[in-house]
Amino acid sequence: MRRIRVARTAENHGVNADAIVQVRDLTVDFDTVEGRIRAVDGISFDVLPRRTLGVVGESGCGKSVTAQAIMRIEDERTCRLGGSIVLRRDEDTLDLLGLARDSAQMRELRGGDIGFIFQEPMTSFSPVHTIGNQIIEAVRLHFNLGKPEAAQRAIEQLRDVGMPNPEHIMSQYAWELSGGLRQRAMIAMALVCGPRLLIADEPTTALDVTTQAQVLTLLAELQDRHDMAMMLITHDLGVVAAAADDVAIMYLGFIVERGPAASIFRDSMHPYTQLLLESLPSLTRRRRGALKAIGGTVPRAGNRPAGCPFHTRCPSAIWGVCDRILPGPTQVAEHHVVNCHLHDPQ
Amino acid sequence: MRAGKSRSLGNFILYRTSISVVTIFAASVISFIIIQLPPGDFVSSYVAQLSQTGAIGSTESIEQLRRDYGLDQPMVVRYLRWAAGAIRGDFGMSLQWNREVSGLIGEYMGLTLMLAVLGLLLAWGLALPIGLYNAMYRGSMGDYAFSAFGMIGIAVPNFLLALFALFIGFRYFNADLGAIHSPRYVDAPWSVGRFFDALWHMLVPALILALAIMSRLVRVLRANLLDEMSRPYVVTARAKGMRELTLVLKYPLRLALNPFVSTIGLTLPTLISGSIIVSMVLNIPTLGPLLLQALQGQDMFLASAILLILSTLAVVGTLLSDLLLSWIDPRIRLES
Repeated sequence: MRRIRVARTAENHGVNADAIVQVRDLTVDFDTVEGRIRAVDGISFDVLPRRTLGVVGESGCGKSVTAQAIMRIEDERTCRLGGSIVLRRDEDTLDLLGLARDSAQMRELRGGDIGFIFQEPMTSFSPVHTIGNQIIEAVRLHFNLGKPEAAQRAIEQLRDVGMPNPEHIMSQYAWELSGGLRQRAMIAMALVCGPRLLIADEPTTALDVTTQAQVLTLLAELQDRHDMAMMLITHDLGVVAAAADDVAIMYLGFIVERGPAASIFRDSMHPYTQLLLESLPSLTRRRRGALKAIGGTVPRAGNRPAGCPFHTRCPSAIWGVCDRILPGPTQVAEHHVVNCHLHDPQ
Repeated sequence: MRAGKSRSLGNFILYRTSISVVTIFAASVISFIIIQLPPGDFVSSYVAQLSQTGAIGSTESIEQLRRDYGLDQPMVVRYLRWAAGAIRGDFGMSLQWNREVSGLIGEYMGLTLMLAVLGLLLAWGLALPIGLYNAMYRGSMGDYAFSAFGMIGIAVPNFLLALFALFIGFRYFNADLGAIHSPRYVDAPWSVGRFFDALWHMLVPALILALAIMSRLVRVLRANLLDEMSRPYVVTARAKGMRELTLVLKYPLRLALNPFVSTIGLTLPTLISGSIIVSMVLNIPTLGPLLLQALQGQDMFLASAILLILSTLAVVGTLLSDLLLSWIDPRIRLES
């Protein structure tokens, strides 16, 4: 697992006034036929300028829903949001949850201040519109430009993401490109309006391994060049190890541990994080026997256990405590916070 | 690359067109044979008619009549003669009307096409906004109201609607819905004024014909749109900051239209043959009632000609919708 990027100095880290996005006590509820289900339960985190926050967790832990909440592209019919998401623009700050989902201001932020990259570049492009058509549209939604100028800008952006022969790509359809090129086109479309925050939801999951590394390197380069903050959502700790400055580990709608990547990987405190790290295959450390897996399965969100959400699978659970009381945050190192009774001084 | 694309499009058109020619040939054979399948022929039903009125022809004159019409020849010969004429636009003589079939059909064709095209335009023009509304506001009162109305549109046979309309028109508006021309245009030659007058009078019959088709289109469009609206590319467009209505019009609607376009071809002949009973109830002189009469009287040349025209319409319509589909959907154009 090569670290593609040199860790940045954490000079600003933890100073909330600088955060591009401050999420506080975010809750996401879904109305289903089985009643209201809480997918995200009061999570808080910051995305800091020029840094990458890796959000890690298994399927259904609420990481994608969190990203959609920041973007306010949640399903209006079934989804209810609570808490606050504060976005900092040059001088002013905006609570995104206070804005109407389809308001002009929210639409201006979407794609303008916040870019979004999706998991599946194949289905995330319209199959009957050219790449050029869709990128030009993104430009013209946020800048008062004529078609030729917007096209010029789109071509420059395609070149910026390392697309070979961008003029030609403009007239092609997504399904005519290879997976890697498709994801590059998707990145170009997300960046074409110069967002201050890029949210990448499993950007490498649909790609093969060699392309994954290329895309991660590209994202890191682009982030440096354009001074963006990035929120990288993935289920793959390897991806986080390669690309993230800060890490938040999610389990069943909670953030169980968060902190600087170096600190998390070196001194992971939460049993879940430790188990995740142990289940990673490694070339450098020699291990005997089969790859480790975490026992049990993730409980359904509608049937969440009382107390610590992880206690049903936790090897070091303290009975009588972990299955009763929800652990609060404990600071274990600088900016490194864990929600676990094992580290709770009380 | 450009040249390659246009060549493949050219091949595509050539391929589809040649298939259409073969299909029309097959349709002509079938329509010619089917007309002659029932026992007896025009002469026997003519004789039956004569005997009813008391004037019974001799066996010899009957045989003479058969020879004159070429009915004594084998089927293949009759078909070839007929087909050779049909290619030149000569569909033979109508035995009932004692007139050239082509002239007779030409007379009825104008009103038929007018009714069919108007019906089609009404069906589409109403189905698009209603389907769009139902999909965007699914579960709303409006959605339920339109859906319930659509169910009635599908369930009630259109001749019944025609009867209702006829009654209401007669009782409350003192208007005869069957009248296609205003009194001053009845015997006038075709002119722009007469055309628009006829179009105006066609509105209610066309609406009656359009209702069932529209209701089906609304249901299909609503379902297709709901399918497309949950696709990832819609979320992508939303994440770009698009306005919801603009987004739905540009992306899901465009894709939801594909299955629509592919059925245009089938709608056209359905409109014409489906208008038979409505046209009879409202007494509108279209091809529908003409076909029915021809079939009853075993007027084989007239009936075959109308059937051939209907099947040609279906084939040409399908060809057009295929070409249209390849134009709006690059996946079909480039992958064929």
